[in-house]
Amino acid sequence: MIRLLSPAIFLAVVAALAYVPFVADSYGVTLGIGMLGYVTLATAWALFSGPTRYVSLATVAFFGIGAYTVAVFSETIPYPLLLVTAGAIGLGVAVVVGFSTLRLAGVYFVIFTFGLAELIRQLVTWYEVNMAGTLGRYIFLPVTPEGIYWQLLALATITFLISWWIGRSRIGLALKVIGDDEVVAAHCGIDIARVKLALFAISSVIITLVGAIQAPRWTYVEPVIAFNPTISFLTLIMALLGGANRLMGPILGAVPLFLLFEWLSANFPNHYSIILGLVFIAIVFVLPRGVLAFAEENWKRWRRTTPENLPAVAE
Amino acid sequence: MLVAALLSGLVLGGTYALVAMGLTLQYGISRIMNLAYGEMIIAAAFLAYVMFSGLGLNPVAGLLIAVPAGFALGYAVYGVMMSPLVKRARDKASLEIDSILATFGLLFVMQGVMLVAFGANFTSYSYLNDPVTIFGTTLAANRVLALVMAVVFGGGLYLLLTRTLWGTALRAVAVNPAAAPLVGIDVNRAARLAFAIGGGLAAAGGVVISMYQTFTATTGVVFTMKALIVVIMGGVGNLIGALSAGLILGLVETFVATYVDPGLTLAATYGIFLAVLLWRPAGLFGRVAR
Amino acid sequence: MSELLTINGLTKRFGGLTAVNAVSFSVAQGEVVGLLGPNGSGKTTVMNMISGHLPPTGGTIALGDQMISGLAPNRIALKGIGRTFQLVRGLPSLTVAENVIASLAFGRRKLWGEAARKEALQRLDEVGLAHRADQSAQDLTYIDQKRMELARALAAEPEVLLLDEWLAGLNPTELKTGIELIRSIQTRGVTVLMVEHVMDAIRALCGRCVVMNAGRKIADGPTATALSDREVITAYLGDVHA
Repeated sequence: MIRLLSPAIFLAVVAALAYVPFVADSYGVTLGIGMLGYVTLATAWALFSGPTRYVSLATVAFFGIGAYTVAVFSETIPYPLLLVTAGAIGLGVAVVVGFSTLRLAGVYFVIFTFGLAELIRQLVTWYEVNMAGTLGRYIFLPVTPEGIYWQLLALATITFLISWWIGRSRIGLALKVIGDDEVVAAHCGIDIARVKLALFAISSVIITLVGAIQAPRWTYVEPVIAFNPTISFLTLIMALLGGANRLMGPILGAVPLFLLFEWLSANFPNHYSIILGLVFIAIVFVLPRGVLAFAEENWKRWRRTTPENLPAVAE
Repeated sequence: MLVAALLSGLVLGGTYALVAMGLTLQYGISRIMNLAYGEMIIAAAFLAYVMFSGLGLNPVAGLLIAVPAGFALGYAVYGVMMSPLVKRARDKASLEIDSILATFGLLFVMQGVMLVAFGANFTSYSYLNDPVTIFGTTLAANRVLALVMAVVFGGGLYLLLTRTLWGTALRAVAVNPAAAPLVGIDVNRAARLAFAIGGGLAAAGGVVISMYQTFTATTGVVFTMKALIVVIMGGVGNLIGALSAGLILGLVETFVATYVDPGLTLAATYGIFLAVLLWRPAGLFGRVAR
Repeated sequence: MSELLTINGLTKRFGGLTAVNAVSFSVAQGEVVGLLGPNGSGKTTVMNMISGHLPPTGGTIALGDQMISGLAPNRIALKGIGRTFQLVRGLPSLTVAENVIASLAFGRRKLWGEAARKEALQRLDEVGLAHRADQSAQDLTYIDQKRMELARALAAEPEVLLLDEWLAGLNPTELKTGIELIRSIQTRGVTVLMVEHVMDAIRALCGRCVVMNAGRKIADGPTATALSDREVITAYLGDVHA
């Protein structure tokens, strides 16, 4: 029953989301683009960082690479190929970065990825100012907001399916084993570096594509916009809120937080970062393993206590 | 030109070294990677600015207020935010991740508060902006004072840590937190104290920076990154390492800005940083712990 | 008898400390060999080098006619060496069955899905743990964790099994079961190299013993002979008793 039901619900949800642009106004579509973008980013982030516990702040590095690839080549490469190009560049960077960094653990990895995003931004800025002669670029592409929405929906669906498939596949088990104990993982025959690199590459390519698909929305791009570190932080906090180790976790985190921050930036633009910070702190203290794990634990505790109480009453 | 670059490199490097010493104490002894460290620096810079332009208090006297305030802030942050995380942590790795995330939150809160209070504009004030001639090149007096203060604070801290019993206890915790209780050292107290001293040093650094640089509410992250670079280059918990690495970074930045391209200064900084992380994660002067 | 595991001049230095110093011995196909020695004599370091957890500083390790020294642990596991750890290492976030499946899925046999599950249950049954298959590994008692670790190592069908103090910390009843279990492994043709301090178990199981002290091999021979060796007694008990 459940086996048939879940795919049916999934298809229904995707179909309903695909129908949204026909009924929503332009603000609704804009909102949908932002939300789908963050759902995809958070799911892709959790794909790698959830099981390996490598907290990556390189999200915006790849997002920005995607956006900038589109900006730079928008007039020379036809549109669908443009996305392929962006994905390929993202893949190349991910493989190089992955190869050199995956032996860094803990705090060093966090800081490396953060530094990487800043380094790329600085280099792009320098290149644009000194070589290209402009700081910003205009993107004129015949892509409608609805088109962007549907592309992102497709990417989000694919990302979700990849995440679902990984969770049930050998590589998913390998990731769990690595997350628990790398020494045991290696002695079980798992090639740790290869598994991590593969996941990092998949996750990075998806993130690059989100940046590439969203880029035409901006019309005007400059490094400060495309490489805004807040994107990394938001992605991280969304995945953590929902629970980075669950299939649905990143989605459950991304939707409410996106809406919250959308509302905040409209109503309290000056207090935005204070509230972002407080949410961050609250999640670390109250829900360190995410809403889903929290709910599950309490549900179990509740279920465990109720039946135990019954016989005591009967006696 | 060479001497000028060398001197301003030293001034910059001295400031970096001062700032990094606080972070190396916090990470080396308290085991907390404080990503809000730069915000503490900027907060002190704003405090110095307010005291100077509002109350007419000169920054050197301002240190007497800013440093204890930084110490108190560090003490409070450790007590309220960090010790619950330390208690709950299963191992070093989970404490690291938790503390990074919590101090991230703190970073945004502090940055947000400063944005609300001071706006996003570049802030600076003019104190001792008189030319002084050293080795045939002119330098603003406030920069010379900044270097002197960095030397005084850094040297004082070094003596404190190496010559007093209390400093030895702190260093013992840095070397081996598991064994320190065996010789009667209260690790939690040492950690809180080190975190507070780190806060005091951040405040001192902020006041020094405010004397000769412009700053905004959002530049804290840059200082955190630079302090981190220096800490990692020098080896975590290594004061002399932080001192040397700070000077190296200051010189490299100045030389890149003077001889290569000012637009590449930050890129050079991150480039060095990434290279050090990959090439020698234990620092230029450290040995890899096993 | 053909030599299956051949160790030649194996050396490991940590900084200035030489933990293992030019140790050579071999284990024949189907043998159960004890690796003995006082604490700190370098036994576990030898085990760690064989399984690839530590790279040797010098010397060679060969499995059959293949050189395995210096390979990564995952490569060595695939060549047919399985192990348990001195401090038992379960995978706490997985179930007991998944712990075994981990070794089936990535080891030499690449089993997955129903086949892997069936095989895992069978392996757990061998160590008497089938009834706990779907429990979380972190809820197991110490002895059951050891059983699970053994099932995980055996599931890869290793040619050589390294047991690092697998019998330590068991009560007499458990010890008896444990000895039976290892004997049954041997009858299946698996070659075993075991680090052990429980003398009864060594006498019951090992036909031959290699004894180490301070990083060097000091004796190598049939168990009774090796244990009565003068140097061995000195190493364990000091000069006065010799």
